[in-house]
Formats: sequence, structure tokens, C-alpha cells
Amino acid sequence: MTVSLNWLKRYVDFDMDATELALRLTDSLTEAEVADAPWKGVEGVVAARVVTADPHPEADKLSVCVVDWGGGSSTVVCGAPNVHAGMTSVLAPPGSVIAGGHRIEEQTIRGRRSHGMLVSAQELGLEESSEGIIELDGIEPGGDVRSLLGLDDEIIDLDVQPNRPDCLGMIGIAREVAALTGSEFRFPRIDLNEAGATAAEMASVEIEDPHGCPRYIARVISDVTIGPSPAWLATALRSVGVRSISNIVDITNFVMLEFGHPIHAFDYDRVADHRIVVRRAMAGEVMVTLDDVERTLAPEHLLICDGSNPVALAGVMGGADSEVSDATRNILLECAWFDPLVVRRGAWKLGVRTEASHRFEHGVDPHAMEMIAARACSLMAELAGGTVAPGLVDAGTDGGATPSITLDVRSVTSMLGEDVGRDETVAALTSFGFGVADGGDGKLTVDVPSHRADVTVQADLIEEVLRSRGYEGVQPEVPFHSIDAPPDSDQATRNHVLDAMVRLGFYEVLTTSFMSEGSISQIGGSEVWGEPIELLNPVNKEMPLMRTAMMPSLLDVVRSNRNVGERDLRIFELGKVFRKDGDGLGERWVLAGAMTGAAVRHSWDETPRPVDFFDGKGVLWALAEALDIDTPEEACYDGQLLDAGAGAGFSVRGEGLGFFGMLSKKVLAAWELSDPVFVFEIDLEGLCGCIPTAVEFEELPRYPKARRDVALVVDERSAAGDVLAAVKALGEPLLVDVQVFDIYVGKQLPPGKKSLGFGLTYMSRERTLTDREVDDAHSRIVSHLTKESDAALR
Amino acid sequence: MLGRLRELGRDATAALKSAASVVELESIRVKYLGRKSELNQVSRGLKDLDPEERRSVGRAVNELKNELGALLEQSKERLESAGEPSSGLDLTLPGRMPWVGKKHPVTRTYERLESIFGGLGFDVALGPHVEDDFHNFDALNIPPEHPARDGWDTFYIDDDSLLRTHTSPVQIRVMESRTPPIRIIAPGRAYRNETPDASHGSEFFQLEGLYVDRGVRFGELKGVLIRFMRELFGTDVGLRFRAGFFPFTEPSTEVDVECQVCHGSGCSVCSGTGWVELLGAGMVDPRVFEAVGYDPEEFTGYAFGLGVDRICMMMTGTDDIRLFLENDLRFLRQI
Repeated sequence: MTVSLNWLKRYVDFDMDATELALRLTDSLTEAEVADAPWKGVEGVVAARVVTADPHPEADKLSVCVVDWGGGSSTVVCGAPNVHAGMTSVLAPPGSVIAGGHRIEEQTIRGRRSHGMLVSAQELGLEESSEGIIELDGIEPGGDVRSLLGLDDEIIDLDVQPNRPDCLGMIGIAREVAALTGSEFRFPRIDLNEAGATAAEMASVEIEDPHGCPRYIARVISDVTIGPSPAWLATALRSVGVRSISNIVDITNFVMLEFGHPIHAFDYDRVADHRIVVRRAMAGEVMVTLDDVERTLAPEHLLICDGSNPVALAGVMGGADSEVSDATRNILLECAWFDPLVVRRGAWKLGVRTEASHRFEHGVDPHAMEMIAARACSLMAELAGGTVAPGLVDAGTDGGATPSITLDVRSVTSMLGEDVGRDETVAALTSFGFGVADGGDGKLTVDVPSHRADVTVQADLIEEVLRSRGYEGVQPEVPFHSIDAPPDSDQATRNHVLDAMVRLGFYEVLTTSFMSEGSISQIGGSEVWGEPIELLNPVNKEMPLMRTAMMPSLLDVVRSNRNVGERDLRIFELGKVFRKDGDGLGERWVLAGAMTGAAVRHSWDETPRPVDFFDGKGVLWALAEALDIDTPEEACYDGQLLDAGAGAGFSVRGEGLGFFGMLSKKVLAAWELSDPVFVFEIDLEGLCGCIPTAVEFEELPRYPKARRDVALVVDERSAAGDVLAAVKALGEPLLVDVQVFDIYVGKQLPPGKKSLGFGLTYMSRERTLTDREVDDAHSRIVSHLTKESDAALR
Repeated sequence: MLGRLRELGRDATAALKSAASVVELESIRVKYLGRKSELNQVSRGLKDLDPEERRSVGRAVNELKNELGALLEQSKERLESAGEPSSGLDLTLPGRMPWVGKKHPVTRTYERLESIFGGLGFDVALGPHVEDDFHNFDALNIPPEHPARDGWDTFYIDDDSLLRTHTSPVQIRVMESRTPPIRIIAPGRAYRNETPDASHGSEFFQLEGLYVDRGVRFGELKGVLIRFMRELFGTDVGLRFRAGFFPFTEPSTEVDVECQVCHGSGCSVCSGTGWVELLGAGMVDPRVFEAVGYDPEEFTGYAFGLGVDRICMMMTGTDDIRLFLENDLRFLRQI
């Protein structure tokens, strides 16, 4: 809401500049900022009468004028088409400043000396665009144009919250200012001088949809003269960015901005039968609104109709046919209460939003309607010379009495502090216009004024007291009571995983939760990743899906970093993936990562090799170690994301938790990547479930270990893991560890064979093993391996 | 003979004292004290000397051997304690560094906040990102189609499902599942249907706080938030509590912190006001208690919410919120 301080001063006196007022309102109402008015800095301009205006001998479109500025006269060259002798305009003499900080200097224009310039409203920053120079009435040459044109006005932008529609009008804000500054609020003058036939004789109103329009007041003003608005009215509207159109239209805008309640003026003679019918539109019904757009309507739309046709889209916009024009003689004035939701839906369906619809959506005060209509009538009589028909046509209901709330003063004290007592509470509520009476037993009965429909419960009243006191006026306290609460161990475990990944040299990233259809289909689509959840209204039309996998957004990060020269990347994300889960919508925590570029950091004595499968697998196994998970295993993988020969499933104790491996060529190409990329994605909830919650102390071994090695020649395609598994399956009690320490393929072996070197460690917790015992255990294992498989001793 | 011994002693002493390495020392030992050394030969030839001479030369040989032996030990100690340059390393060459990882700046900010609020007795609670209308709006006193909903541009999935527009639904979920007293913070991602720009993301990071008990006062809300902000920004930071509006709190307040860039004198970050809006808070609206089945006569409470990415921006001087989800390594390394 744009607030003009000059306008505000019509209803309340206050002794603050815009900065002070904005601070006070920010503290106790809502955020207020001093706006830079476009006319700020305009200086030294005066009213001047054009004495003569003769054509410039050297230029068709210019005039050479002699102007009287009170203290003397000057010659100026003027290009405005509306300049004529006898008019009063505004002179910017040499040394004065106009909008934009532009300083006026004497200059020669086509051979004629111009001592300043006559200015337009645009040149003073009063309008965004204007034609011709300003024409003034009722001011002598040399007179002060600053207040007449509002050049002395200051502007505040007020961020009005949805609970305070009363502050969408200057009067609502003035009431706040009065209460917050302790000054008096003045109601605008209403002077009707009703005469002639009554409104009821001249017009009728029928409400067919009392839900959409609970109350409708019509008044009639006869014999108006349409013309320009007086300077004060045009200036007031201009100060808040509304263009002056004509006296009647300006009055409707002015009263709307004054009360926050939109009203509408119809050309009485173009309303068929002088009859208003409020009804819903029929499907496909058409009307032309006053912006000359033909609109096709639906039953959501509430219409104001005359005896035969729609004349306005209720609460949104008037119709073109009944619009006030220069020929208008008589006015039918509407002041109505429309249902907020009906207006909201109607406007939304047409995709329009107007000053009127905005206010009706937030709710207007049905109890103030008579007064608002009267205020408009009074202005129309005063400024357009109309005669107000006695009485009004009032259909519907004002919604009944405004509520009373019982306020227990003790609850104010207990919420705001001991020092806020009964007197302060009463004074605060009274200042904001609440009626306060004693309710007995330490309670107050508080009558809520009709313009404060936001106040419905005791807590709302406590806020009023707090606003009056100022939020700074409450003593801070830090009491401490401990609360037994179940700790969120999942969060702690996730943090544990996060820490472990960072220790392994990975950068944490946070990527978007959205993904495109195209990117997920590159890695297998919904068959692999599950049915994605789709947004009805994505902000980026390319990415309408919630991610079912982390991979696409992680690979985007790999690519964008590669594009800025960051090739060595070790990144991970710990976040959520989403998918349809039967009829429901599921979300799960996932850990995913990518590694690419050099396997070790560049150094002066080594040319780093690119990351390979075992670098990545090592990270995952090290992660498992860091998390005390002792049995990670590789499993089958048959997706399209990974290279068929370098991809595997990740499982713990037989439970598949995800996958890891090198990206397939196809996926690399899809992301325009050339370096090999190792990736992994692991279900975090499953992984966390594998972390032992408690670790039990085991006595440290007291006896030495003994190691024996064995080299087995096996088929080239045999898996080392199978041999390890076979060794473990034997369950040799003295065996405590087996490691692969060497792989050899070469001339010393028959073709199609390879040699695997295993180191076996033996130990007993009871005694020092003799060589004999170790050798026996070792040969049991070796002979089993050579007998039960095709492995041969090398 | 005695003169020759003195000569030998002089030479050997000089050699031992000037020895520059243990290796050199060993060759000196071999030369002067070894089996084939002159001294040893003299020693072996003693038996051929007459008794008189044998006694005096023998004593002189023994003395010299002891003297040189002691000196040898000394020199050895000197050289060993000085350390021996092994093979001429260029110590200015860089070492072989392991990869170093880092948490995302937003994560680190969360950790800081969780630790501060943890110290104030708040436990962490989490909730789903895909929410229903009831938890995200209705229960928070934001009725359907109310203009108050305009403040939350919402991503919808179907008639009832949406992406949470704030972390506030976690309040509702916690209250539904527990009885007071409750004191929690709810960190997490939230979503708004806004075109991202330098100061708004369509995905962003919030932290919600809730305390419900009997007789909770507005002053406690102020006390906890002041404590929090002083711990975060320092004890001398300027703070301002002012009027605010949120459908789910009444009274509501917005809290500003002194601009950390200009320290209150006014700059472009704070639009010249010297203040930056940091968080929204208030006393839980009784209608919210009714929605979760608490008796508003019995319980009161406060709630607050803040933008974690914004705090991270303020503390690091980052000027574009989009950088957080872009994950440019050059940015992540720096911040």
C-alpha cells in the first residue's frame, strides 16, 4: 500500500517525518519503508501566468512566451501544444531543479534565449508520462506550487498483511497512526444536501445470490457535470500513483483508497430499468469489461446486471456499456459487500487482479458501507455539482453485530509480563478503537470495532496490547526446564555418515530435488527407479518431477564443474529421493556420490592415473569400516547406469542397499563427459540400520599372530571373492584374517590362468601357537582349496 | 718414538674433530685405531722394546688410545645428534597431500544452529517434504483459498498433496504425536513456486522451533531468540523485535538483526536501513492448538522459523542464494 503523508494528514495530525513514521509503523504494525518519491529533489519551481505565446519564427512546433512569475517576467521557449496566453502553469526558472535532479539553465533554442522552462507533470515526477505543460487553477503567479502539486509530500510503502484489510485504506492507517502517536483521528466531512425523488423511487436492487453478495447499497446522484478534478484530488491520487481521469471516476478511486472499500459508479441512464440484479453468470455468458476485453464467463463469476444485461463483474471490474463518460448526467453508485472467495475465484479464473478484487478478497467492513456511500455522494455533490437523491436502496444484511470477546487480564499478564496490568490493557485497547467494559472477576468485555474483523479470540487482543506497548517493551527471560524427549537417533546416524564421507576426502553438495523426464530416462527411467511424483505446477517446466534418483543432479554437478575446469571431483550428497509407493507418496534418504579425475592428488613425482573401480570400491569399504559395518559385499548389478564389466550391487548381510561402479559409456555420453566417473547410490536408511548401535569390548589378544602365504593358480575368470568365501566357509577357528596380496598373469603361467596370492593370519586367544599348529591349520585350508576346486598350488 | 706418538695424536685429534659424517668418522677410526693402524703396530711391537722403553711407550700408547677413543665417542655423539643429511632432499617441494573433503556451507550453518539450540534444550525433529494440505496449511490456521495463502506459492502434486512450503508442518506432526512439554527444532528443506533469483530459491533451507508447555510467556521467546542470536553473531549485536503477521502465531513478531555488512550504518544489503530481517516468531495461535487437540486454555507456547541459507549468506557475505544449489567446487572450497 502506497501511503501519502499529506493524504494521511487529512485524518490525523502527527509530528513525524516519513522516516520516523515508517519506524513507528514497522515496530507496531507492519514493515514500512520510505519510498523515493519521483518528485523528490524538485526545487525552485513557481506558478507563472503565460502573458503572451507567439509562434517561434524559426520552428513550427515551438512558441516563444512571456511569462509573469510574480516577481517579474521572463521569456521562455516552450514546445508544449497546450501553451496559450492567459493560462497559469509552472515555471522552472534558471537554477531550479526538476525531476531526476536535472538543474535548469538558461539556453538558446533556435536563436531565442529561454530563461527557464514551463514544465509538464512528468518533468516534475508527478506522472509517469504526461502530455503538455501543467495547467493550474486558483493560484496567483509566484504562488507556492509545492503543496498544491504535492511536491512537499512524502511517501511510505506499507507491507499490509492479509489480516489487516482495513489498512488497505488511508483511514485504517490513520487510525493506527492516531493510536500509536496518541493523537486524535478525524473522520472526513460528509455533507449530502439530499433533494428530489428518493433513491428507492429511482432504482431497485435484487440479490439473487446472497452468498456471493450479502449486502448491496445503491445511491443515485443526479445532474452531475463530468469534468476535471480539482487540484487537491488529482494531486492526492497522483501521489499514490493513480492517474486522474475525471471528477466522478477520481472520486470512486479516492473513496476506495480512503476506506479500503471499492465502490463503483454506473451511468444511471445506461442501466436498463434502473434496476440492479446480482446473480451468477451462466456458462458461456459474455461481457465486455471497461478495459474493452470481451470476457467469457462461467458460473463461478458473480455479475452485476441491469434489467437486461451484465453491467459489471462483481468486485473485479465494471462493464464497458455502463461506464461513466463525458456525456453522463446521472450516477448510480454501488457500494457492495462481496464474498472474498467468490471474488477471488472469479478473478483467478479470468487471470485478472485489480485494486478492487484485491480488497474484496481480503474482506471489507459491511458495517461501514452506508458511510462510505455517503462519503462518495458528498464528494460528487461537491465536486461535480450533483444532487443526491434522499435515502438509499439497501439490500441484504450487514452480517449482524460485531463480536464481543471476554479478556482475562491475568492472561495478558501471564503472557506479556507482570508489569502489564489492567490499566495498560484498557488504555491500549481503547486507543485502537475497541470498546472496553468491566466483565467482573478480573475480566474485561471487549467490543471489537467492525473494521477489525481479524480480532476474534483473546490472543488477538493480547497482541493489540503488545503492539501498543511495543515489542521491545517486554522483558526477555531465559528459564530452563529440562524436557525428556526421545532423541532422534536417525539424525545422529546420518550426521555420522556425513562426517565419515568428509573424512574420506569428499565434498558435500546439495542439489535440486527436481529432475527432468529426459535425465531419468537416460539412466533407466521409472522401470529402474520407480514411478516419479509429478508436480502440477513446476516452476521449471523442464523439471516437473521429484527426483527418484540422485544420479542426474550429481552428474549435472560433475558436468558443470568440468565446464569450469574442475576435473578432479569427489562429491557426495545425503538427501531425499521420492517415488510413488502404491497409492501413496514415499520419500527416502539416500547417500550418493561421484568420483572422477585423478585417483590421487597431483604431485611432482607422480603422474596421477584416473579414478578406477577399485578406488571407488575402496572408498565404500572404508566408509563401512568408519561406520563399524564389518560385512559389506558386492552383488549383481544389471542396470544401464554402470559399465557392465565394472558395476556391482552393494549389500550388507545379504540385503541389497544400492550400487557402485563406473558409469557406462552411454551415460557418460548423455552427460557429455569423457573422463571415467565412479558413482554410487546407497539407501541411507538401510545403511544406517546396519550400523551397530552398541559395540562390545573384547579383550585385546595377548598372543602373537602368525602369517602364512599361499599362491593359487586358478582360471583367469575365477573370482578372488569366491576363494575368500570358500576359505571363510571352512570356519577354521585359528584363522583370523585373509587378504589378497598379489595377482599375477603372465608367461610363467599356462594361458587362461592367473595366480592369486593370499596372506592368511592365524592366532589363538588362549596360547601362543606352535609352528606345527599353524602349519597344520594352513595345510588343511590349502588342501581343501586344491581338492574342492580347480585351484592348483603354484 | 714418543715424538711420533705425539704426532699421531695431533693428527688423529684434528681429523676426529673435523669429521663431517659418521662414515668419515669410521674411516678415521680405522686409520688411527684400527687393526692395521700405526698405533696398533706400535702396540704390537712393544714386546721387542727394552723394558724401560716398553713401560714408557706402553703407557703413552694406552693413554693415546683412551684419549682418541673418548674423542671418537664424543665426535660420534656430535654427528648423530646433529642428524645426518641423507641424500640432499629439497625440503621446499610440496608434500603428497590426501584428498580433503568439506561439508556444504548450509550444512555447517545447520550444525552451528543445532548446536546452539541443542544447548538451549531443543531436540531435533524431522518431517516429510511431501506434505498434505492439512499439515502444511489448515492446521496452521491458513484456511483454503484465504489470501494468507498467497504468501506461500505452493508446488502441488494433487488435490491434497504438496511440497511443504515451510518447516512449520513438523510442529503439527510433533504435537500430534507427543504431549507437552515439547521443545524441538525442525531443520530441513522447503519449497516455494518462485522463479529463483539472487535472493529467492524455489528450494531453500529452514529451521523451525517450537516450545509448548504450561504458562509459556512472550518474554521467554524473546529470551531464547536473543540468546541464540548473541551466540551466533556476538554479544554486542543489535537486535530489534517488531510487529509481524503469521496465521499460526498470535501475537507474532519479526526479528531483525543489525546488518552484519555495514554494522547498522546502512548499505545495499540492508537497503540502507541498517537492519536485516532474520526470523519470524510468535506465540502459538490457539487455533493451532485446537487443530492438534491441545487445550489452548491449558497450554501456551512459542514458535519461530528462520532461513538457514540466508543466515549463511549473511555470515559469509555470499550475495547470490543460487550458489548454494549450484555446487561449483570453487565456491564450496572458498566458503
